[in-house]
Order: sequence, then structure tokens, then C-alpha cells
Amino acid sequence: MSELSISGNQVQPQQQPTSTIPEPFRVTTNAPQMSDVNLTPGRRKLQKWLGRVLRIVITDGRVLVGFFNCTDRDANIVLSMCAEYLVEGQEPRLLGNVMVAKKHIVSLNIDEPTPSSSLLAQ
Amino acid sequence: MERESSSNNEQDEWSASECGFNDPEVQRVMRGGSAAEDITQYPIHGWVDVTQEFHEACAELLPGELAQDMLFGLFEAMSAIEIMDPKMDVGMGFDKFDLPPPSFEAAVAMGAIKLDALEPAELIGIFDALFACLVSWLEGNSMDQVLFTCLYLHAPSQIQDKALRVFCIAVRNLIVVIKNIIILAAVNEEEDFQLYGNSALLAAEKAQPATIAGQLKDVEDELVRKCKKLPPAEDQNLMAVVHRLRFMRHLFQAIYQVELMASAESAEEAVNEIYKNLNVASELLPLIKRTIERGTQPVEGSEAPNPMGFSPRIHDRSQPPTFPRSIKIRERPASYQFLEEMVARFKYACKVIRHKDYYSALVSSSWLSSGILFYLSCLLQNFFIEYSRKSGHCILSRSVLQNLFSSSIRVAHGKQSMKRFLRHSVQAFNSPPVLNLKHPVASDPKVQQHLETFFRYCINMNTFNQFIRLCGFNRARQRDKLAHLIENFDPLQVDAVRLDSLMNQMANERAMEGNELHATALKHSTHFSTWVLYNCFRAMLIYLMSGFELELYAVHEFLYIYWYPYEFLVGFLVSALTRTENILLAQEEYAEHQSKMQVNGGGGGAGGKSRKAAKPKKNKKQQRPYRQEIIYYHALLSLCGGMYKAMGALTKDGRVRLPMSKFDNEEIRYNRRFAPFVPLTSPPPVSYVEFKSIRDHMMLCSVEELYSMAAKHFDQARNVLESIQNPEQEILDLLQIARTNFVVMNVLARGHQKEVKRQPEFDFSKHSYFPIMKLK
Repeated sequence: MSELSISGNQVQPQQQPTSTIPEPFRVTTNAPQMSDVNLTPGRRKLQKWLGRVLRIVITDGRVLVGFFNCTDRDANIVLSMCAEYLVEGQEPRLLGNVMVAKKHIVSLNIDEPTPSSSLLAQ
Repeated sequence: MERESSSNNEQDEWSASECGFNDPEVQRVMRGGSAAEDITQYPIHGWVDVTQEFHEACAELLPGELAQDMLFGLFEAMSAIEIMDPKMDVGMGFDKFDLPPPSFEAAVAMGAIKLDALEPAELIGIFDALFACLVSWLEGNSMDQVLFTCLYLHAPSQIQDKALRVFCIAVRNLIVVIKNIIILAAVNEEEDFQLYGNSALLAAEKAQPATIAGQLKDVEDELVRKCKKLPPAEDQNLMAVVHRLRFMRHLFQAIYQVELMASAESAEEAVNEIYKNLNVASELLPLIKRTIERGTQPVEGSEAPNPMGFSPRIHDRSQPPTFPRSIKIRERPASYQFLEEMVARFKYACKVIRHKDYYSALVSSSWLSSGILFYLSCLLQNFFIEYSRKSGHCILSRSVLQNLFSSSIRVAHGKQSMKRFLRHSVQAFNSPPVLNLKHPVASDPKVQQHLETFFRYCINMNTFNQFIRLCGFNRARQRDKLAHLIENFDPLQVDAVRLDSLMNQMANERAMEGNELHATALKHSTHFSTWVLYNCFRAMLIYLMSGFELELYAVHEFLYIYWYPYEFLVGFLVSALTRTENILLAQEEYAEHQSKMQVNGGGGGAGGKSRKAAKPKKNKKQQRPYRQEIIYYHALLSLCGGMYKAMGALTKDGRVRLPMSKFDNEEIRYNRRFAPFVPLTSPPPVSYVEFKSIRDHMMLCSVEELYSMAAKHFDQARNVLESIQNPEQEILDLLQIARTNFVVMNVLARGHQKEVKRQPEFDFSKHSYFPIMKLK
């Protein structure tokens, strides 16, 4: 049963398409023990954003703000402790864990200290 | 070994805090952030648009690869609401330019709802919509999302129209009463019923259930007087309003009295009163159903159940986020259908409770009539089981029966109700002389002490109590709880066997002392263990067979599911009942013998006495009410045998779809199916290996032989069932199943459809335990 374990990084893919690089199936995480120096740049970015606060504008105009918890290749996103704003600035409704599918995402903002942090994104 | 070491490694890598099972609140604290972080205080630094970057980064991931927070686990994944999913996302479809849904005050101010001088058609529309909401609430929806979308319910005292005001007050009180009944019965589960709703709305005006009937009656009378003044053609609509008010009054009274029964003095009177109200209510329903179209109808495409007075989304944003978003309120005709069936079920419950009381009063006086009570207590238990099948998802019906039952035994037996009830149950089952208060042995202090201990133990174990209560739960939960209940029977069995052997031991002692009367009364008694076993077997049978109703079994599993009752359970039941019957007959003979001795001893002068001695013979037939049940179980035995052999034949014939051997492990499935029986010492668990050898032995026969063996079983079942006089519907259904399957088996035995090996259809619509097999 060990090949089905949750931690995933030990798992060998059952069938590897011969064309792609035989890279082991993996989970990118921000757990301190798992720091991997060989991460691709994209993975490194995601690793950095994990656990930060993410703001998602979705197709019907609502704004969801929550801790960035998980994503996959299709950019489906799971947020935790999420707040839902019908109108930003007004009283939000607290939703807990939510999953936003890629097709509903309009824009993504991360709460991040940058030199230009005074510029609030729309 | 290898597995162990690998799991150790995993533990090294992942400490508990990283497995993601803690709740988010704790997680944040553990991460070292400030406690109880408030998401609304973000952004701290400022939003940076990363849309493009983010998508590009994601594209680097492999299919199936996740980038996940260290605290993210299966629990978080499973509990997430999917945004923009019409079933889950309450916030969906809101437009920021939308007006908030109107509240009561706003609607009044806008003139959207009328408070006075409502037309009869409007009243009918609102009343019907409210009944529909009530039904939808009973079906498990949150009351905020159904009932309290009606703005009139928010502040009934502000309504000037008397009919509407009183009706709304009645609905509010009904809500409170129903809630109490359901809480008291405590057989609800989260999937049946939402107990919690916006209690602030209910609290605004105090509940006074005792005054409701009077208020409704007043309005009715007023409207009836008004009707009389109208020309005959125009009073129809108003009369329809009156009928609804009257229906509400009687329904309310019936339900309210059920609640009151918990503290009533006389169960009989209360039940009669309830029954009367239900009768009137059920007579009014056809009239109401005929006038549904006289009321205002809901607007096509609108979520509101009525054009006026409802604000469907008023509470959406105050609901917990995991609540379903869209509620489908029942249509009006279907709602009245539901109420009609519910009232019929209440009536049925009242009837049986009434009979039970009557007979239990009868029985305590003489043990000869105990047969009748046994029959009734069987009936009662069967009734509970049957009732639970019928009322399946109606939580109120199930709760009402539980309340009626518990208050009626409380009233019948006083304080120590459960102990008395259990005593009666044993007495009714096989009437051990030690429980017969008239028998001298019953006053033996030692006997009394042992009995006391045993019954106290029974009560502490709560098993029998649970068995009845369990029937109140919905079918899926019932099965779940039965699995635990069966386990509890084991210590009871041990205790019952001990009690029986103590009695036998005492019998020997008494015999040594020369007290023959006491010795015979105590001897050879397996009364208590038989009683416990019988109940245990029944629980096991229900557990196993309910899997069919819940559609848990795959067709290829039917074989061992039917095999177990065929080979063991039903046979045990028959032998337990037969043993009981023999004990009873022996006791009766002994009593006869005794009375003859007395007659002979007292001289021939007493002609009256000899007539008395002859009497029990006449009663012999009454003494065997188990006959019916034994016959029933014989039929069940044959049906199980038939199904078992039929499944064997079909499997061997290649007509049963089997799981791919790669993914299959029959032993695991077998063990899981019978897992709740494993803790029992009696009957001893049957291992998979034993089952397999029995089946392999059967499978040695040819397919044709197997088919004809199955046919023979069905034929036997048919014969047995046909011998039952005045059969109930269930017997007739079983008969039809036996007949049809007999024909199908014969057809297959003769090699019909030999070329096409298609799996027959198993149609459980006639009976939940046994299917009719259909060849396509």
C-alpha cells in the first residue's frame, strides 16, 4: 500500500509517457523540511505564495480573499478562511474553505511586500 | 515488516501538525501568526496582480501534481465549497446592484404585501404556500429557507386581517410544537431534519399553543357567518378558506396533544382525542385539494411559493456557508398528498397503541392470555419495523410514534415502566412461571433477587429499549445502529444463560427439599436465554436484509447474504420458537395434571371444578399463536434457500456479472458484510472458509440441478404461504414472488436462453427482502 501514501513524493508514476522526462510524481509544498533546491522557477513562485493571502476576482464580480492553500496544473485554487465580498469594502461573508475552478477566475492578487506596495491593485 | 518501516519513515517526515487534521484556527496559531487572525484585515502590504504569473507557474506543474500548503490535507479538500456551483454556492447569482431582499418592514413600506382585507383567493394562496413550506421543512430543509421566507410569519401581530393573522400565529406555534416532539423523540439525524433555525424570529412573539384552537375556531365561525350572507354562488372561495383554517385547527390539536401526552394522566383518553382530530383533518383534505386552484398560484419561474408575502432569499446570506443554496419547495398538490399520508400514518399509530394498552391490561390478570399479548408484542415490534418502512423519511411520523409509545407505556406501567415492559415481554413470549405473580414460586425471595438483577442489567444495557427506539430512525441510520445493538446482545445472552442455570440449580435444591411445585416451576427453564436469543436473531435478520432495501449489495454478493439466513438465522428462529412452544405446552400439561390431582384429591363432588379442568384444552389453539410466526419463518427459510441456490445456479451458469478478479477479494467483502455478528458467541460466527466449503459443495451439482433445486425451494415457500389463512398483503406479495421465481427457475432449468448469458433483473419492488427475478 505504501505507493498510495498521501505524502505523494515517494510515489512512482504507474505509466510514464516515454516522451516526457521521467520526473517522479511530486507535491510542491512550503513545508520547511521539504526545501528542494532544484525546483523549477514556477514551482518556486508557487511555493513562496502558499500560505499567503490571495485575492481572487471571479466572473460574477464577487471578490474572494483567503489564504492560498492549494493549486494544480489547471490553476484550480483552494483558499482557506475565505471571505466573500459582494462589494469590496462592505461587510464580507465568511465562507471557510472554498475551491475556485479556473474557468471562474478573472484576476489574482497576492498580498506581498513590494517596492510598489502602496499602489493598490484594482 | 517492510510496511511498518515505511510508515515509520513517514512519521519522521510528517509530524501531526503537518497532516492537516487540525482546524484552521489552530493551524494559524501553530504557524506562529497572531491568534484568531482576521482575514478581513488583509491586505497588510498591498495587492500585487499576479494573474499572468500565476497561470504560467501553474502550467509548469505536471498533471495531477499539487502545489499545496503544508497544512493542506484531505479534510480541507473535502470540506471546500465549490464557488459557482449552483448547489453549493449561496452567494452565486447576486448582483451588487441588486436590492437586498425585502424584509417585513420594507415590504410593508413598499406596499408589496397587504396586511388587511385580503381576498379569499389571496388567503388560499398564502395558506397553501405555507403548508407547502411546512412540508418542505419536515423534509429536512432549514426553516429559515422555507417557512421564514414568508414575511407574514415574521410579525403576525401586525397583520390586521384576522384569518391571516391567526393562521400565521398557528403556523408559528406549530413549528414550536413539532420541534418539541422531534427533540423529545430524538430519532432525528442531520439528514432528516434541521432543528435549528432563526430562533430570534420565533422568539419575537411568544408561543401560546393552548389558545390556538380557540382563536382558529373564532375566525372560522366569523367567516362561516359571512358566508351565509353571501349569495350561494359566491361563497365557494370563502368556504375554501374556512376549510383550510379548520384543517389547521385539527392538525394542530392532534400534534399538540401528542406533545402533551408526555405528561398526560390517561393515555387512552388522549389517544382517542388525537384520533378524533385526525379523522376530521383527513376528511377535510379532499375538499382542500379540490380547491387548490382557487388560490393565487406561484409565478412561473419565480422561487417564491406564492406571489405575495414571500421573500425567498431573505436569509440566504445568514445561512452557514455549507448549506445548500437552492431549495425546492414542494408543489401544493404534492404537499397536501404528503400531509394526507402523514395523517393516515398518525391514525395508524394511534390504533395500534390503543390496542396494545387494552391487551396489556388484560394480560396481567391471567397468564393464559399471554399468548395474545405475545402475539401483540410481536405485532408491536413488527409494527414498529413495518411503520418505519412506511414512514421512511417522514421524521414527524416517526417521532410521533415514539412519543405515543413511550408515554403510553409510562402511563400503563407507572414509574418503573421499562422493567415492567420487559417482564411483560418475557412473560408474553414464553410465560415462565417465575414471572407469574400468582404462582407461589414468584414470591421466593431468592428468585425475586435473581430476576431483579437480570432485569436491572437489561435496563442498564438498554438493548431492548434501543431496539424499539431504533425503529424510529431513518432506514440507513437504523442499519448502522443495529450493527452496534447486535453487539450488545452478547453480554445479555451470557447473563440470561446464567439466570437460567441459577433457576435450574434452585430447582434441584427445591427438589431435595421435597417442594415439588417449586422445583417443576424452576426446572428445565431456558426461558430467559431463549427470549434474548430470539430478539437477537431478529435484529440480525433485519440488519442483514435491510441491506437489500438500501441497495448496498451487489448482485454477486446476494449468494452469501441469502445463504446465511437460510443456513443459520431463520433456522435458529424457528427452533427458538418451537422450543418456546414446547415449554409452554409442557407447562400447560403440568398445570392440567396438577388441577386434575386437586380435583381427585378434593373428591368427586365438585362438578364445577372438573369443568374448569377441561377448559385449557379448548384454549390450546389460542396457546399456539406462534404457529403463524413459525409458518412465516418457514416460508422465509424456503425463499432464502431458493434465492441462495438460484444465485449459485446463475453464477455457475455465467449469468452473474463478477468483479474483475484483479480487483476482487471475496473474503474481505464477506467479512465486512458479517462483521457485526463476529462479537457474538451465540450464534458463533461462521468463517469465510466454512462458507466457501459449503458453497463449493453445492456448486458440484450441474447448473440444471441447481436451478431445479431452487425451483423446489420456491415451490415449498409457495405451499407454506398458501396455507396461511387470511393472509396480509405482505404474505400475498411473498406468494407472488415465490410463484414467479418458481416459474423462472423451471424455465432456466429446461435450458431457456442457453445462448445468451444475460444477468436477470432483480426487482425488489414487491418486497424489500426478496426480488422477483426477470429474464430480459
